[in-house]
Amino acid sequence: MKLNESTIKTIDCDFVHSKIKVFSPYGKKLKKDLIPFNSNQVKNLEDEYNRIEKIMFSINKNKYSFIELRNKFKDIKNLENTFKRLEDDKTLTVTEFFEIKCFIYTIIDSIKILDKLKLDLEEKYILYRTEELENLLDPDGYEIKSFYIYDTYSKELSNIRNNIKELSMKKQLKYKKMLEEVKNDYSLKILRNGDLTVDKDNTLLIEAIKNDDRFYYKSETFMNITFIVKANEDLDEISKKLEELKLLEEKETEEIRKKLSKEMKKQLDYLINMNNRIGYLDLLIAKSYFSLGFKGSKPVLTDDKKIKIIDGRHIIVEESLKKNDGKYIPVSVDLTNGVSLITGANMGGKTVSLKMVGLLTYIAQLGLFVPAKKFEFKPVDFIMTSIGDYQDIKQGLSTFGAEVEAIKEAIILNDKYGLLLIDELASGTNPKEGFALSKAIIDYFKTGNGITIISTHFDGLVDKDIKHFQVKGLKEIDENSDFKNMEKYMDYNLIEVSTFKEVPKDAINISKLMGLNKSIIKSAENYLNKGSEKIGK
Amino acid sequence: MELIDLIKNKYSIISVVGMEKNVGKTVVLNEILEQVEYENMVVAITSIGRDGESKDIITATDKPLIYITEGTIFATLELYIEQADIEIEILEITDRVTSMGRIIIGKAKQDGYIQIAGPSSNKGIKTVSKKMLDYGANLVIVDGALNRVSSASPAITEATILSTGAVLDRDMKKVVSKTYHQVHLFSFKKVESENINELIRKAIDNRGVTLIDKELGVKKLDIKTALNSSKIINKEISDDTRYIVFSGSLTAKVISEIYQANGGKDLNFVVRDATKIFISERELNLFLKLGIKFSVLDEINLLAITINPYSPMGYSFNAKEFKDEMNRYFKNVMIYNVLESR
Repeated sequence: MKLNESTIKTIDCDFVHSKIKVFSPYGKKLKKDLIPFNSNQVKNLEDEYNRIEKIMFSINKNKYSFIELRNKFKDIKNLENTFKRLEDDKTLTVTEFFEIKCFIYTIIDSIKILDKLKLDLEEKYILYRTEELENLLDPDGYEIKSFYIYDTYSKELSNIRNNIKELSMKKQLKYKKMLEEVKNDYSLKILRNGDLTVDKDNTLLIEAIKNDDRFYYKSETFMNITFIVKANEDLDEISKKLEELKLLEEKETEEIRKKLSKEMKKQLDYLINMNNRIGYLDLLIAKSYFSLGFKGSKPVLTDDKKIKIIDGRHIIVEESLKKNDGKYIPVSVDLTNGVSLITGANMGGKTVSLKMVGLLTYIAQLGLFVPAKKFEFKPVDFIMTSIGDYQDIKQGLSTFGAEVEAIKEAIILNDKYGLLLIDELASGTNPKEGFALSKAIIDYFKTGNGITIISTHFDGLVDKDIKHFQVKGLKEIDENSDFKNMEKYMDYNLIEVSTFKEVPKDAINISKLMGLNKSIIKSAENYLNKGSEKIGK
Repeated sequence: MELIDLIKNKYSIISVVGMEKNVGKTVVLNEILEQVEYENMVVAITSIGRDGESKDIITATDKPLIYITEGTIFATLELYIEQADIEIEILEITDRVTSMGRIIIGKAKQDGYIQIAGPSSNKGIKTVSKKMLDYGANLVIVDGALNRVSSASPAITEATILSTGAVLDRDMKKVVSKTYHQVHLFSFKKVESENINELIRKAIDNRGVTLIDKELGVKKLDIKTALNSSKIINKEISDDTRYIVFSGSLTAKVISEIYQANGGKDLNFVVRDATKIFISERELNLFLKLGIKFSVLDEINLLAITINPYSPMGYSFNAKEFKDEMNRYFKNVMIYNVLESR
């Protein structure tokens, strides 16, 4: 599906993506690359809706299990680098083995949860275990989520370690005994490492220690000297042996890591596969949560070129209204290929309704459920928009310029079936020319393949070949009506009008509500009655 | 009496902080670790890392080698795990990531030396400590810091050991008085009312500066830190304001600027904990005389003061004189010379 830049911005695709919450590293990657389905992938789209429906149903029944499952996904570290290192025949570090072991436990734990859920999904989403790999990282069958180069990996290692342990004990005992002896002889504090610090003032003691061959001089400052208790030959012998054994141990563990890495490489396909499958599952669950969260309905796919929305909600506007204790009024609209016009006064929600159509179509084509009571559509090839931004400093010609650009793009795609949304057509130029151009553009698109929606102020654009929707607009207002509660007086609903109807003259009423000077209002009403309808006719 | 006797069966997370470098903090840590060994306890250790510093600065500062025995649990940088000369069982790779890399929880499978550098935030130290207790430790020792560089503070531990020593000053009296000042700051208490404490906790979590009035009305001020912000604070202080809560550091400059504009008002300056106050002894005495009150959210429970009579600058104090002088000033705190014979 093709989208122009303005579409991505104005219908706020980023908002949709930000509400799809994934947890696993690969899920995050998939989400980053997530794009709408193409119009010819109807089957895939339908499959996706069915999967999501299945999962939504399960979430409602097993809320806690899904929270648990997603927590497991959250714990997965990004293993891409480790996979790469395995691929390149590198030897993994203990930390990397630990990470892989954690990952395997995540798989095992996830399988336990998924078994209970019985989601009945395709191969791509199924996790399975391999005993070989599990035994490799848990050779003693401890089933503990920690990792260490276990003695079990080699007899050699086990022997070396036993020797080290024995010798260390022996050394410690001997040294401790020596320290005790010295301590008793001098009644001085000796640190565990054998350090003994003496004030230089204490010349007698220093002399004595210097003559005692159990000590040697270590360091000195201005005021004191530090001696260290010398190890005797016996101890030196042990230390030397220990050093040798430590070297052997290091060599042996490295050997084991090398071997393990080699074995692990054989399992690389499995690891990558599981990593990917968790990602797919993660994204699918995230999409289901989105669909649930926005109370979406399953889109209905049709072969007719149409988009039919019953009680559609613009979720971004709805969210911000909710924050201000406002209520969003759902809008229904039934669109077919050709041109549909939306008319209505300023502040009548025309722009929001236009954006809503774009947003909902985008959501549906991402494979999500749609925030509407019913959403029926044929997937589109493109969504193009020209919706001016009110905050935009560039007004007038540049708005008009952007509009022309968008229309030019849409013309190139006119043989395709897509969605073209134009807000306030030609409003940036003078009314006479604007009207003429609008008429011509409508004529061009009304026979096109795509669905074109144009909102406008202009009377007289309505024609028998095109659909015409009117914003219901302002209800009764009186002197006491208050601008702050505009929503209360405004009905944003669109009604399809079949007979020709004038654009409602709500602008004056709205100005009145907003407290515009009474004499201006009066004068405007006079002009209106005198027949200034010439403009635009 | 040994340090461990003050700790065992009473606390599960303690911290050791040094007044400055070279006060012998590492000796204290090693000493406690050694004493713990005789007690048949499983001990865990981590240290408050430094945040926002580049790699080379951190490696240049001395994160000392600590001697641990088989079975000791620790939380340190992945880098140091790989450098350690002992075999290590990896227990967990935490979510904590510092500028130096990930923090890993491990268990020593042999005796030997390892460098310890843990998380730099309060939350990080808390989570990691809790996890190490879950892995079976009876006691967690946090190697702490008293500086602006670390955002984590010893106040999050149950008890704190303060290390001081000759390195602070050539004049023994000055060393004692500097230590006295630090201990004075450590003695700042919570506000008595639990309700107000709850408001203070929220205010500190919300960052910036918050005023609480006598009717318990809360007003969060639109400033990031207290530095140079006294003007805004002064504008908002009314006759009803009682507490000024600072989530970050509090300096003498700010206190005096607020005092000058609001003399006579019943104001209480509140910070997260005593390590967030940066005022000299002279300034503190002046403020207290003026009737300014200070409170903290997290109290520091001072367990003992360790002293080191030697300075690497090449001078030292007479160990006995030093200890006696300390004992004269600190009547209720244990003074412990780690280099002294038992």
